[in-house]
Amino acid sequence: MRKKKLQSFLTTLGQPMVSVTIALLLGAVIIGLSGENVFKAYGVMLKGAFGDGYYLSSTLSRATPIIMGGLAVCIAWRSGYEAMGGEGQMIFGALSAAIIAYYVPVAPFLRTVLAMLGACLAGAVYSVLSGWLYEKWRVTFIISTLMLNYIANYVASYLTIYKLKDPEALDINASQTGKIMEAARLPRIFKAYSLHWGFLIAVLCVVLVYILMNKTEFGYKSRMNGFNSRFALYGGINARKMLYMVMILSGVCAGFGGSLEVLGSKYRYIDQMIFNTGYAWSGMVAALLANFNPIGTLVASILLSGLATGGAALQRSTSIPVETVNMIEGVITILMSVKLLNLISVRYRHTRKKEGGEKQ
Amino acid sequence: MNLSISYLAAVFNSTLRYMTPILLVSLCAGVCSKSRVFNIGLEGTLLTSAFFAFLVQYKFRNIYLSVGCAVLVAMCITFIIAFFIVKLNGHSMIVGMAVNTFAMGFTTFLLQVVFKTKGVVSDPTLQGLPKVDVSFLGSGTLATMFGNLTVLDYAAFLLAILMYVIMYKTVVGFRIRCIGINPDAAASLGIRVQRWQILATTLSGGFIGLAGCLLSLGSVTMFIQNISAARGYVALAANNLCQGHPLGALASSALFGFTTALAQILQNTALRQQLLNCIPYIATIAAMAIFNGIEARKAKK
Repeated sequence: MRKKKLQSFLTTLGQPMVSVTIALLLGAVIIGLSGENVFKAYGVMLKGAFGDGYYLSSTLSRATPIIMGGLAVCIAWRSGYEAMGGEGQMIFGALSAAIIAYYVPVAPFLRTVLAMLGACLAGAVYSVLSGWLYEKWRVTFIISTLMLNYIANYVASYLTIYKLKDPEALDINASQTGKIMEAARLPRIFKAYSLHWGFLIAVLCVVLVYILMNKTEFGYKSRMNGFNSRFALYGGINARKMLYMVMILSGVCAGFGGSLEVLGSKYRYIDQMIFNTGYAWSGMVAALLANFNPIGTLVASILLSGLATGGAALQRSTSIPVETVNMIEGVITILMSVKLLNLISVRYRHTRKKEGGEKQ
Repeated sequence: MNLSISYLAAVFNSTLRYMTPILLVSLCAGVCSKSRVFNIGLEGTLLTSAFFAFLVQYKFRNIYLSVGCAVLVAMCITFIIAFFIVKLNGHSMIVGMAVNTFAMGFTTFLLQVVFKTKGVVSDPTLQGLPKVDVSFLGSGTLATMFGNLTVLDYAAFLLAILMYVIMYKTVVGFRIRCIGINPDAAASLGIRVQRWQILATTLSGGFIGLAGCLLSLGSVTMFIQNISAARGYVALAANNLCQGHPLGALASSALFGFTTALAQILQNTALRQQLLNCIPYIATIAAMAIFNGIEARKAKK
């Protein structure tokens, strides 16, 4: 029994490790082909991601919205709803946090809290919209969420450029909202480093989501729904209620992630800031790497964020563009989709059985 | 706004231009969905083939070579997608997403390495796809309606009809549809399901290559980072609307072509660019909601 447990643990851990290794090897080939020293390049990447306090703190602070986006995916996908709307929800979350923290005339601390709540609400509403489209109008999640992501980005662009433009901006063309006052920001943990309290809040959320999904009745029901929705229906789970609950929760996570990014690191909404960085997509890859386990998502998010900050360091010191990282991420994802180790171990068991059969 | 005949003709013309890439991609999506390979990697495939069409044309200045290369690249990528989904049993959504992420990085990377720029490359000396000469129509309304279109634009319409014939009037099409309806039943008839699935999807990937050529060598000869701009996803929706029927794809992609043209036309009005850009996406959701919603309600009764 214990052996079996160990084996399953090793496969869950081994799967991402094999995928990441293959992807990094492929990355090495690409780096080699573009005429750079592979070892030096990966050295630069490693140092630029986790090398010292400065880099490590920027990796962790970058990981914050990725973690929240990953949690949103964990909740939705594990319940059987393959929604990809994290990006749109995060955009509206970030935008509403920026607006509330800048414009609402209350005490600074209250502004922060209100901004977070507003962001959660915005994310939830946008997420429920896609749930409603699915439930009432049979628009598949994949289409509705992808389209809503683009719509969110354009609408947020419109608002930041024409309606909510920073009134104090020196550069007239800067499309961004006003800078949040210092007292309403999420403070940094260490003065010199960019790491902010938002990261610890995200870690707390990871624990909460883990408990929610593994230790509560709702978590059990939602997982049942993900395994087999007909069985869940038979077992007396209200599918409609489940859908909306899951959509609200995942929307809250994504929207909240957007607010952490605004309140903790950018202090304003800048046009395209979520769209260009691809936080929500990285979050999705992270959730996938971790097989939708919240704690694994946390680790994978930090790794992916390190890949991105390392890639940026690579771009600064070599001729290799930061987008190489996207390629590595893509390869990791496609390898993760097929559960490589399972394939190999099934083959292995197959041949062993055959051999055993012949002996008898 | 001046609603004259010539104005409407121009709208018609730009509808045609916007709809053909979507039509071609949704033809591929149609084959994929009929053969039960759920492919959302269309977007990444389109982006990569648009890039290679431009790259080959830039290097070799041979339009046949670049179209051929784009088609080949698209087929290769579609093969990889089909192989991972069908043979290796990968999760289709994740495989497709991985391809899209990879394509984004890959094209930007090559853009940097080959052209040393980020964002946009254009070369005024570069020849695009040959335009169909419509001078026999004179210079009136008809010429505006059908002028300025490339060979591939017209080919797209012919291909849609061809696909209809293949899918609904030949044995090959029958087999592919058979697999889509029930793979086990198809297998019991002696159809090699996996082989057919991979073959059909890979070949249909060629359509995406043609669509890629239209994007980077069509009405404009340039490559812009993320030039596909969600057209792959829109085509997926278009295909969903017409249930994979090639002639239905004509209608549904015309709808999206028209909404894109509409967004372009309304630019001169008070509405802002960013809001206009939303129109095709909103139309996608609305069209799907209306059609699927009605269908679902019918099924309930």
